Amino acid sequence: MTPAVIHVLLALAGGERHGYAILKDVQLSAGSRLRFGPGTIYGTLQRLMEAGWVEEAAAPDADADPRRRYYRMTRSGRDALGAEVDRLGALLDTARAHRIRPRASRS
Amino acid sequence: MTGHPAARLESRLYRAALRLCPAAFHRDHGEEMACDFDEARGAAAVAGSRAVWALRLLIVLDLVRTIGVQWLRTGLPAIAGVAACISLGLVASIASMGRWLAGRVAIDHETSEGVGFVLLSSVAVLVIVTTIVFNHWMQRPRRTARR
Repeated sequence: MTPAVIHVLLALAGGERHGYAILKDVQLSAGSRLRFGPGTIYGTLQRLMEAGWVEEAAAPDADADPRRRYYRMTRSGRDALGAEVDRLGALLDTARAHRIRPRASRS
Repeated sequence: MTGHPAARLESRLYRAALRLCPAAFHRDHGEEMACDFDEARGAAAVAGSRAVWALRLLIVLDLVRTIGVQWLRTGLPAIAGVAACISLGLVASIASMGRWLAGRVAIDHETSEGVGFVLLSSVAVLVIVTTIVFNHWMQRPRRTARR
């Protein structure tokens, strides 16, 4: 899974969102080290929809901007994200076993 | 679209640049992306000129990357590459056959230039034709639905 895929799925873990809300969530969670633009987000969403991990959802209310499309994570998307989180957790455990600590906690 | 003339111009430029993406991607996400750009541009304008310049840089890099990635995903560059190789191979065989014939039949300079022109045109036409044929073949309806 690429960082963009992980961040988009994490943004959708909180419920259905439109593209700009996903973009803002991703910018918030990725911080200044990773910068994603609209093209990266929609390209990722398109691939995730093709994989069946994300699907289009109905607008939450009738007043929603008609130009906006809403997206939500599917069951298989949630499973895939869970598996990736497990893998990253195991990786972190291995790093800790080798006494490798994140740079931020070293000082 | 935001009210400031510079923002309006940038919005139009962004919409125009989005047309460089493959048609399917532009149809599916073009309007959303333009909408997002307008919102992000408005927010950056409030935050100051530094934020506006950071957004411009991000958008340009993102656009270049998106156009490249989306065209690669269509498979068209690979198809065009294969088509060019096949066409060049075909024309090279015809040219070598022509060279063999030229040894047997006397050809003047003007005719030889004409043959060169015909061969070059054949390469161009063959590349276009094979690209179109391969593209249609790649996009033919499949029996099993893709996930």
